[in-house]
Amino acid sequence: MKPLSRRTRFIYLAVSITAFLFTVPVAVFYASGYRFNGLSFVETGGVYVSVPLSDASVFINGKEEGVSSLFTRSFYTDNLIAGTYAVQVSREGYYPWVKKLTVEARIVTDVFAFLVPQSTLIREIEIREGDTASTTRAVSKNEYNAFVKAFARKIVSAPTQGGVATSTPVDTRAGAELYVEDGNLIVRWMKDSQSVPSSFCIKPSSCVQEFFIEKGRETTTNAQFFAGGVVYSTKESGIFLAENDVRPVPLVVPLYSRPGAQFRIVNGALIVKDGLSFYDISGF
Amino acid sequence: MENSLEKNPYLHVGRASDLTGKNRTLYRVFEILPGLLSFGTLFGLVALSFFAPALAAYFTILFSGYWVFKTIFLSVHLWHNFKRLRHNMELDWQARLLNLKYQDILHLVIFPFANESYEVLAESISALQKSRFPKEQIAIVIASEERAGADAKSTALRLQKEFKDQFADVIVTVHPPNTSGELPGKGSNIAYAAKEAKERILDAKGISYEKTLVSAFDVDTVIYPDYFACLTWYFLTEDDALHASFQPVPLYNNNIWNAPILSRVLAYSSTFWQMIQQEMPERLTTFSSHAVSMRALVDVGYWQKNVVSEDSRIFFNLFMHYDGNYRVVPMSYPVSMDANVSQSWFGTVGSLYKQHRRWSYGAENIAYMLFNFMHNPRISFSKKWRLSFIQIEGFWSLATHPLILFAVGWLPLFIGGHTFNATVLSYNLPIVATWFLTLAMSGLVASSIFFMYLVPQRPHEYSWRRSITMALQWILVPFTMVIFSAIPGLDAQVRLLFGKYLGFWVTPKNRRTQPVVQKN
Repeated sequence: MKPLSRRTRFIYLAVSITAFLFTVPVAVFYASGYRFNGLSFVETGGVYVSVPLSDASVFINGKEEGVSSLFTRSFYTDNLIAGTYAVQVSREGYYPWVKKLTVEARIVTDVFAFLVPQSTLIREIEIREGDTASTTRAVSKNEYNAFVKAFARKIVSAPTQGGVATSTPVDTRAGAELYVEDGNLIVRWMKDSQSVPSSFCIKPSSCVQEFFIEKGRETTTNAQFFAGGVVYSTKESGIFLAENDVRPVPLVVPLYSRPGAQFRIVNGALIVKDGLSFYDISGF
Repeated sequence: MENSLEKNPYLHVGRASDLTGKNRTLYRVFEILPGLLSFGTLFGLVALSFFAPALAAYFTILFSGYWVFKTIFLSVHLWHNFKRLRHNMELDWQARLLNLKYQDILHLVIFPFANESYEVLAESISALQKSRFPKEQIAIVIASEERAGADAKSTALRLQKEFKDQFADVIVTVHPPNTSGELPGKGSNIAYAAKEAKERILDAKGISYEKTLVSAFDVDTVIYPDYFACLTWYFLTEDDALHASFQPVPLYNNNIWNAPILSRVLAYSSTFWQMIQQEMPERLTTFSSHAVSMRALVDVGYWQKNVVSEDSRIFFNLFMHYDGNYRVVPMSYPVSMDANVSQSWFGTVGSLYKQHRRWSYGAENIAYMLFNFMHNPRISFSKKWRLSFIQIEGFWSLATHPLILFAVGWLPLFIGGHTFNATVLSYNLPIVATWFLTLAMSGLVASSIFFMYLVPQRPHEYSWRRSITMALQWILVPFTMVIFSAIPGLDAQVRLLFGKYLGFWVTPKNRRTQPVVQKN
């Protein structure tokens, strides 16, 4: 038995090269977002949805893309012709989250599903020894004093001068800052425009450096980043949790509907002060 | 040897520092070349990933595709050699010699020997004893090292005494230490041993150099019964056999069942690579356990004594000496050797790394080859070009391809920047590359099947679970490619690049239990 002849090896080589030359350009075009449609190539884009919880169903234009699990928390859908798509994420016991996303050719529009539970637990905070009950939360005197001290810090709503904010941010997180100016709530991207996240982009090719979460409708008194969104209080209606995303339609959920109520985030917990009482809101 | 050096004063150049003036500079440039190419490729890709991530991503997709078809192409060669190997193992080579005049052929078998145990060497010699080829045509050289001390010497003498009457001759040579111009190691030892054997056996008995085939075995090389009949057949039927070396396929079967998983995968990866090369003779250079005529050895001045890679360097020596009229004949017949095993798991990992670094240090042949090509107008341009391309591409791909496939190629995703990360290309790069790499895994399935056919039957002390592990062990290949091919490859090339030359490192021959040798 002889080694492979030069002729046989040449045939193997030629077949391999031919297969390479046919396959790889297809792979390159595919990877770039080109799809064969009818008799021509079309450019497509995609949507990437991140889901924070398991057992949430993801829909694009009403078609289910999948259900999140412990190991699958993101869904990438490609082959989408440029246009507007309705992305919905639903989970039992949570507000339905819907977002209208603009898909552009060869670009992936990414979005973080903002899931807020429909029922949160509101418990009054009391100083006492013993177990926490369903309607009250028992804390030590030291903890209680920490809440008192947190609320002693004043949040000042500042005016603007010639469109330039004169206030300091009420909160900062990962390059974004929250401002309360003239009773409006604004989120600003403080890094360069090249790194602006998709939540600041009405569509992938059109991003802004700032947008309003609350503008003119009510008077914002305080705001902080919390639970993947922004919690804020207004003079007129109480406390809300809002989505931090410029794209329509941002989800805003009332958390504590009593005018004049104030809040602070103390050790990661959302604490509300209403009159002389303190409340803990949990369940996020 | 003097004649050979008169003909080519650069025949035994070991490194740039052996030369002076412009020649030294030129040789140094050639030493730098492999590292420059490999690091240039990797740094170039890192820079491309940063400054033009889309281009880098396209390159990764192209490269992954290239890897798939290369895997398939090589697997076809492996499959063919597998069939040829099995066919050759079933042939009655002794019967094939009947019509040939082989009675005047002498096989001189050199076992270079340092501190290895009596059992390892005794097993190798015992296998010669079981050879079907006439033992009176086999002479053994136990090539010991003086620096190994009294114990090694007494082992060598004990073996000589035990086996002396069963072969044409058994001699012990003692390689003196600290000889000027030599690098301590196998090359200098077997060169000394071959010269001694020539004088003490061939010259003393008037045996022709042209009729003597010298096998440069490792101390753990165990032959199959028809090995020397097969080798003799190739030698007698090959045109212009004095201008050829003969290369068997090393199977690491001696201790394969008790070797750790990494050793097994790496050992048989080497076997498979050798099998693939056997189907591409023009790419083949000499490796462990090759055979060469004494005529050629005398002409070229034996193995080079001042290099690490003497197994492959002898091919280049002969290629240069005979002005390109030299080749390696693939035998497609196995010898059995030891998989690399140390006393502990970490020791084995260290040994494997050093062994592969030493093999990768074969890149030192590139400088030797290019330098000699420039000084030898008698070798045709096409031969120079082909061999240069094969060698340079081989060491470049060894050091860079695993890293491109499993690390650098994915960099655009991490350093490509915000704009690139928002593109469909960025999201599809891992998907498409994964498709290709999964397809390339078919090569691993083939490896697993061939492996299970080539290893000896499972010893009784191991359960079927061991067989399952051995079949599945090939999933480690992506890891071993990076850690034991690319990294030691780069390590070796860095040493050449900076002139921090590597010394010879003896692979330890440890066995956890007594070996299982013969395939049933």
